[in-house]
Amino acid sequence: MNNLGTEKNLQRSAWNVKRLAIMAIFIALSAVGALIKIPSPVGTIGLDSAAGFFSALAFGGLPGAIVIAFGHMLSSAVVGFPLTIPIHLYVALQMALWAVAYRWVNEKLGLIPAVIVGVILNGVVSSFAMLPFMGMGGVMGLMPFLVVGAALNVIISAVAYKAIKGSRLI
Amino acid sequence: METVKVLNSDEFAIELKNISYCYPNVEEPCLKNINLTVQKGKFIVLMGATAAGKTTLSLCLNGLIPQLLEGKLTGQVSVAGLDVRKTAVQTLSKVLGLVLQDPETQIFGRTVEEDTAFGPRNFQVPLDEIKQKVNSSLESVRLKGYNQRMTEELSGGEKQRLAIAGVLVMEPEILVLDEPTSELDPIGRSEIYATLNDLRTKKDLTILLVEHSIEELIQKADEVIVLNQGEVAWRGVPIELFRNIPLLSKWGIKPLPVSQIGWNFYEKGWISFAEIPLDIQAAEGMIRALLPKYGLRQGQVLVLGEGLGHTQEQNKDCLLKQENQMSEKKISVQVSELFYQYNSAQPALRGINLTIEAGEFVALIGQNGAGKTTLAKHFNGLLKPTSGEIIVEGMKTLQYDTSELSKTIGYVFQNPDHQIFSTSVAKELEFGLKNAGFSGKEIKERVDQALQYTGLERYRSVHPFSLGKGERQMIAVASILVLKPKLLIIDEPTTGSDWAGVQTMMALIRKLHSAGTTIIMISHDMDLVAQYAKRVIGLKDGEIIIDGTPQAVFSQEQILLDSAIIPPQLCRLSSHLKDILGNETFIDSSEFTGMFESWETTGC
Amino acid sequence: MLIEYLQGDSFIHRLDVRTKMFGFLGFMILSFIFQDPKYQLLIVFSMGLLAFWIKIPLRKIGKMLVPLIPIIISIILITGFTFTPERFERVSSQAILFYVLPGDRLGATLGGFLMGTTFICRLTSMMIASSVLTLTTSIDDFTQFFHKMKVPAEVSMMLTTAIRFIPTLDKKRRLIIEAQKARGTKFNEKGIVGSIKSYLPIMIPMFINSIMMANSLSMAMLNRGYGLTRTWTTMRELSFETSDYWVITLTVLLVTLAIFVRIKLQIGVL
Ligand SMILES: Nc1ncnc2c1ncn2[C@@H]1O[C@H](COP(=O)(O)OP(=O)(O)OP(=O)(O)O)[C@@H](O)[C@H]1O
Ligand SMILES: Nc1ncnc2c1ncn2[C@@H]1O[C@H](COP(=O)(O)OP(=O)(O)OP(=O)(O)O)[C@@H](O)[C@H]1O
Ligand SMILES: [Mg+2]
Ligand SMILES: [Mg+2]
Repeated sequence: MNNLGTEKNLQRSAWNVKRLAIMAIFIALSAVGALIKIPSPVGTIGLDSAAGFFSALAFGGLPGAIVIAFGHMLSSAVVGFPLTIPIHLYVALQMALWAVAYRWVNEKLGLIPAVIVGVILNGVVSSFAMLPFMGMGGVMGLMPFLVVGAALNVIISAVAYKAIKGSRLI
Repeated sequence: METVKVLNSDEFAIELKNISYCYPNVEEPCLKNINLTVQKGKFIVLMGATAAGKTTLSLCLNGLIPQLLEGKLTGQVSVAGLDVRKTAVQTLSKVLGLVLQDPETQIFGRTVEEDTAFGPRNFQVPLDEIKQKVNSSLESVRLKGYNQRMTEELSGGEKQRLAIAGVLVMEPEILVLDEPTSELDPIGRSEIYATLNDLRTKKDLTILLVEHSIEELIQKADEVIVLNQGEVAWRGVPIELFRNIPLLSKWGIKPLPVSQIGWNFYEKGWISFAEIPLDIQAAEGMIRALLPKYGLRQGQVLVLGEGLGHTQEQNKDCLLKQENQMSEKKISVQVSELFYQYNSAQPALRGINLTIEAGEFVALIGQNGAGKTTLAKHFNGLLKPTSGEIIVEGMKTLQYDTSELSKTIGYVFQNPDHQIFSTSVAKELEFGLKNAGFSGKEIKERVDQALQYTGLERYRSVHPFSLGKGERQMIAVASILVLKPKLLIIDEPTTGSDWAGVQTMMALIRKLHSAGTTIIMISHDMDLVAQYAKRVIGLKDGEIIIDGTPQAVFSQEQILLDSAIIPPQLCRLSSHLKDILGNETFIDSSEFTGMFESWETTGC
Repeated sequence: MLIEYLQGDSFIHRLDVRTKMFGFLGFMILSFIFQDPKYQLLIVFSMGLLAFWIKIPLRKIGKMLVPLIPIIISIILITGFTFTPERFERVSSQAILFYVLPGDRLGATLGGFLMGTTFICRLTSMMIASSVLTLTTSIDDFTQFFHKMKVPAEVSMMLTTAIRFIPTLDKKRRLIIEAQKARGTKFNEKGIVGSIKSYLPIMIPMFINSIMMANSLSMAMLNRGYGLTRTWTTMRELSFETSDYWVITLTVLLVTLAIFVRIKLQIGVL
């Protein structure tokens, strides 16, 4: 047996378990975040995507994408898929893309541009992505809700990331 | 070379050679040059102050260091003959089972059976065999017949034993447990210890247990290993260590109260080192033997009356000082006919009537689930009565928001990590003040004051999460102290702290108390309750069953027994000496020494 | 919380998880092909009966619907105003009830409102159906279903662990909120900035505690042998029983009938 090889392998296997544990907990956190209801001028907003955006910053683009997508599915499963499963799948896929983009902009340009991009993508672009299902009226009706929701979730994830980065936790 | 190895693996369960370990991004190594062997079948207790490296050492034993945690590990760790670096953690788990501190994250299954089966399923053990193994390991942790119970609904002690079953089911030869009892009441704790004892005798397991207190274990443990700042400071039989009080205090380990009395006599030269008692029987014997020789003259009972009068007078002096400060007695908390019911069927509080005066120091005691926290949460309005009424500092809790009440009523929760969120200690303290609407200058003054009071000054601009748990606990207290509450509620402030940490915390609380703050403390540590509280309230199944001074409460053995509370060691000793003491109950070791003639009493 | 297994031994509990999934799929097709609220009401009613039959707490489901009321109302309004007459096949549905803006703009169609009602019914029956599914299927069954569907083992492990930890994290959330309330945090601050300010003290400790929990979770998983191989012993082999075949047949028949009615006879459209 090659010593060096096995030690590396062991470490990799342990690390895979760790990544899995982190993603699992943050997916659960997305569902719990959805239960935190923030009153806003456009209706109550849940903090379901903050965990995903935070994971993207803290643990990487792929984990972030996985957490946000599964987190969305799980938190809508908890309320019985109000927009029906196919639409939720579509939304989940979009969110995964946004999480990756958020991470990417943060690395290239910094946190504030990333927040702006995150809010535009998750608020404005996501609204237009609903055009085929709801028509222009639906998009306009949805937009304020999504923009406020995106702003809350993205900003909270960014501030939290900044606050936690200084410790040795991540 | 080969033969040596085989021989070793026969004799030793654990063998550490020159282990040093350094966490990533930390300069100071956490473990330094540890050489340690543990023989098969031994029961070892690993002790040491907070941050001594006990948890780190147990992580080294099953390969989580270096396989999961990075950092620099040097030296050789072998467990049952296996090299920890070259064997996967998962494979090692069949040899060495590690039970971590928090049972919550170690339970994966929905039912008890499902959870216990998790381990063997990973090794693809056939189903029938799993069933059989699950049953036998549940039996050995005294959870027989719990198979279909929901894990969510288990009590703290049951969860902890389930966590043990979860690693036992893989039939390891060695069991390592990291503070498995820190959040349990005395009964839950003794159940865990009894379980460990069973395992050891029936299954011939080697057990390594990390613990802060040894009282129940001193007869059971074969050896104690003391870690101090990452090094092995002492190793030997427990009785040797626990007679040596100065050594214990040097390493921040809690001494046994009875041996504290013995040590006093030993210093006087009345007994030899080996005669220092370690349990109640021995202490009783010692006192009975010494009393005719050194006890105060005249008839013994009478004499004691005098000696006692002396100490009581002293206590009175202390009390007088405080009473002068607040001449007219104000009522701090007034609870009448309080009932409270969570969503579930049974009410958690049933008809509580209680008056607490300003300036009192009250301890709430009772079993896990007795309703202590539920009651305390009513005092700052976190819970509102289902029926009944509570008036705190002149405010009806029903009419005020918790954020309003928080300005006069402080509540320190057990887990500091539930509240810390700022990037520096000072900012953390400012948060409450800003909520209460204070302005710049006042905030700065109060933060400075609180930092100084709690000894956190040097951490002022440090990130709270780069500090240890003990310091974080202190931050949580400080963040409430800045608000200068009139009434301070502290829910289990010392769980998981070492002796030194407990002392610091209690000294702080005592200081606040003598400055006039009303204190309500919840605790499972009866020694602390007896030592510090002026009034003890015992709860059972949501009702107050006992209320009085520590002396009065802890002498009611029958009532305490019914509600599963074990009185502090010294109170039990007093009751063993009933024929001498009459109905008096002593709660401090100095009171026992006060029984003896030539004792210079220490002032208060 | 909806994702809670309901201990029991009803007919639905005993069905194979694959049958239940198939049944759920059939139900979804049914509820999607009909646009007419009448048929939707029928579906809601029969789902309700089913839930009642196996003693599922319907009140709990009702409670979950309440916070969704604002969304529901906005769905009705949006569909009512945005579904232009051309989108309906029936003349009756094309009828315009009134205009919001002067100059005959933004008209509310009858069909739009009917469609909105359909959405609500669909939502309700969907919620009941998902409750029936999740409450009667153990997590272990779901895992095995994922396994049978060739979902990678890691993904199903991740999902089951996530589901297992929802209650634990929810408890943390409650504890954190209490701890911050005791320090005077107010949750009724106005505006976005206010909301963010008052929810940061909740969310940051949530993230921190989650990270710590994940660390000890990964240790606990490794301690118990997870990750050495990619397979594990299944606790209960899935197997079809007679009742499973009956339910599958029934579902196929129902769906075929519904498609026939809808496509050939053009019933149930708006
Ligand atoms: N993940 C980590 N990264 C960096 N340093 C760490 C980490 N975990 C622990 N330490 C540090 O290592 C030291 C030893 O910690 P350890 O947890 O082993 O102590 P302990 O003896 O178990 O204490 P306690 O009684 O509080 O459980 C401490 O100073 C701690 O701050
Ligand atoms: N949030 C809750 N929902 C439902 N029941 C609860 C809740 N919190 C506590 N209980 C129940 O109320 C009873 C009293 O609990 P409480 O937490 O007050 O006990 P305690 O005396 O503080 O125990 P411990 O020593 O374990 O802290 C217990 O039976 C507990 O199971
Ligand atoms: Mg430790
Ligand atoms: Mg409690």
